[in-house]
Amino acid sequence: MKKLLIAALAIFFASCDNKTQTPSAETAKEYAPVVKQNSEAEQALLIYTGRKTMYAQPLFDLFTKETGIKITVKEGKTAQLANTILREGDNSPADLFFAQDSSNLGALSSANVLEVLPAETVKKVDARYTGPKGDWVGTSGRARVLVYNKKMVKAEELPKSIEDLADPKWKGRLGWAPGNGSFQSHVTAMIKVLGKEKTAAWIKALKANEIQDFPKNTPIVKAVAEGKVAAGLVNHYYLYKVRLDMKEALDAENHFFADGDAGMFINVSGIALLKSSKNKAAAQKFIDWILSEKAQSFFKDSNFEYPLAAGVSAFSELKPLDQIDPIKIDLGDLDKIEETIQVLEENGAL
Amino acid sequence: MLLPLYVSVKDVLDSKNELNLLFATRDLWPTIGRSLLLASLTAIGGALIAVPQAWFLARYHIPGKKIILILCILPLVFPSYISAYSYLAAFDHMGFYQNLTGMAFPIPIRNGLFGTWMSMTLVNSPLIFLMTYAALQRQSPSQEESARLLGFNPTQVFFKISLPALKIPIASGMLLVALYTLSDFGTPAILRYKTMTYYIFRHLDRGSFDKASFFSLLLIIIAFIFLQLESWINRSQGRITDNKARQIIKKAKPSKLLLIIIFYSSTIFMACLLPLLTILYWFSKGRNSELVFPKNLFDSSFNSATLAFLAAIISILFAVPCAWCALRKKGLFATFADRISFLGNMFPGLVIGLAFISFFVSFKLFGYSFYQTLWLPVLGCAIRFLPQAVSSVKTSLAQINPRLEEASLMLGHDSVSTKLRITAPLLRPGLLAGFALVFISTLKELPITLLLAQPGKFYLTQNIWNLIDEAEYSLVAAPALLLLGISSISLYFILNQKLTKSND
Repeated sequence: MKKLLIAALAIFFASCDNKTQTPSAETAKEYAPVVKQNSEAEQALLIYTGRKTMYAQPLFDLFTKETGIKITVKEGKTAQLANTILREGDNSPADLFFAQDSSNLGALSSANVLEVLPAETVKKVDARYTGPKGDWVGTSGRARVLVYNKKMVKAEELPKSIEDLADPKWKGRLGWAPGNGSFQSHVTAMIKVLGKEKTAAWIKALKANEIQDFPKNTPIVKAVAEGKVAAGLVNHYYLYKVRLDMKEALDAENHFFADGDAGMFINVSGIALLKSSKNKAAAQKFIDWILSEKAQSFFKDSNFEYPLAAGVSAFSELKPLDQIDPIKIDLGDLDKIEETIQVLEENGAL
Repeated sequence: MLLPLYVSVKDVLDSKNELNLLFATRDLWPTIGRSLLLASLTAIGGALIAVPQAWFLARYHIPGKKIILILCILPLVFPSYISAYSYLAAFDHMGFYQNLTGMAFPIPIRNGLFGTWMSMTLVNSPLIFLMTYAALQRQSPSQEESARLLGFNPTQVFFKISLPALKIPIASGMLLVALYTLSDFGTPAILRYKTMTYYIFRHLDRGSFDKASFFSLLLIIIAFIFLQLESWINRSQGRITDNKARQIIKKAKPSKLLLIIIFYSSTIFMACLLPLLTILYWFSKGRNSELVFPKNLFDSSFNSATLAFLAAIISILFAVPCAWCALRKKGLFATFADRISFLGNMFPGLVIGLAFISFFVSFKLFGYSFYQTLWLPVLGCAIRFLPQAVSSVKTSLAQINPRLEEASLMLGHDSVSTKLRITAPLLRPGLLAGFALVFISTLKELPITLLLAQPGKFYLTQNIWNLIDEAEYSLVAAPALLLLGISSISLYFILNQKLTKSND
């Protein structure tokens, strides 16, 4: 019993020493050199990340390896973290906010919690994919596409516009993931471009076409590849990820909607430096690093996303970014998702 | 303890101008309706499974009784979200079932009442089972015998004598199930049934904390009503029990025995084997992928175990004085201690998590901020599961005859040494059971770990949740199996105690 208690206490204090626990004299002596080293270098960066760490961790590890700056992450949904930052205000322990989806960055920008980045940093990325105030930059991009089964959809059948999917000839052949964040951002963008009524009518028509619900993008791609549905609305990179994972050639292919169409939407992940950060030099270093060739190549090689900086070209099978003319909207201004949800719910999609 | 309530109220009041708007939310009443419907149907479904399970087991000779008993309780170690995921992976399109039979499952598992109800019912029925089974063992068969002698047939005896006598344990079990169902968010979130917890979670995802708080407050109010009902039922607990109950165990006719066995195998198959098989199936499907064993699997299990350990210690530390006051002391304070320990039941994990974030963001004690430290999840879980610890300790304490302590005092030991040498050893089984209960519950607890995890720390539950969220069915398998393994071991400790107790 006594042993158990001692062990309990030991574990307890060992795990509570996050920040301010005062070490006993003995341990202080033992760890003194290490502690000193840490404060001489920079303390660990705290990144709030909306990108799942299971995909982003290798990137963080690479940065630590190259610069010696340690990274601690807090993972969550992008919108939730953004609102957490708003709530934390000046007390926020975070240094950087790495948004899976740029849609909430605008809200942070207008709440004035983001540091304006140096012009040379912002300049590295096409102005379409940065914040208007220069307080966030896009790090990698993704296109919304129609993934289709080559055996089930003929080339001439492929729609020019996303609105064509409302046509009854697509009945029973489509799949989507209405609960997915990327999809909802796209619908938010569609509402901006087409208006609420037209978007609602489009959703209603897709429901009438008996579009199949999927939980996420990956299952859609798999279903398309297996011929269970003919086509589905997804982000472009899932096809290549699934193909890599299955280690075989697939019958599925990506189709981009026509330039300027509401379906031709490019969304980005973005990063921002918080005003409340006490570690700005290191944080700035991270932002510059993530726009470097190495990091940009990581997005391309491991996630098949569009690199946005350092002149890294896109994955060879993809239509190059500069040949695409996506719908023009402020990417930071897509956080009014309540309206989108309402439209989706009212038309039976959610 | 009252913090979650306070913060929820404050949050809702802070967004005062939106309050009318919140009440006007299109879907408000239907949502409350759906929550209540789900809770009551789950309670009924749970009773329909658990009562016969307990009845046959207590009254008939059945081969493999001990194993069946364990298998009936085993679903307790399945976190609801893992069950939900496994039913989804089994019956959703392109799931286990479709891959095997080539046909789609006739009833859609997602986006509706059915799947959520089925999952919740199967996970929660052991709660009713435990209460009913315990009561059956205490129940004297003499009334039933008299009824038989007076000319009732067995069916009449069951419905007119036995069932009414079981009313109270069944009812309180059902209420508990309803309460659990009401506050569970994993299942509705995965199977997409729009209950209040579903909306709390969606609003949190979208960062609308005030709306989440609003729904939390509603949930607290409803849970409070349920708890009042529960304590009212328990207060009227009658004198039907007979301490020296003879146990009469009948032999069933072969035909009847066959039916009974079919009943057990089907319920146990649905509740335990199917989820396990599904998980194993996906595990084997994904075994070639390097990601099957995530790199942080070990770390996150260690973190989860540490968290569970600390929460269990703390809640036991609080539970002992609470139970002591409740049983051995009289007066206002004792009642207060008794009631307050029960509050944890009222606050779903989501509500506690949310309240802790809101409160601790700016709260500092002597310049030390608890925000994003291990303290938060530990305290959160300790509060949430305090009722479990208290009731275990209470059960144990109630069995200690105060005369033993008095004798020790008379023989010259002072009060401290009496407590240490007499009370503590006698209390040990209850402490251990309470510890194990809180330990299991914390291991499984999802919302608190999701919301309050410190930066850089990952818990097993988070891993599982993220993977379910990504619909990576084959990658969920390894962490899910690990979690089930750890909780099963802890359940073994509880069962060991319960079983030996019932052998006395």
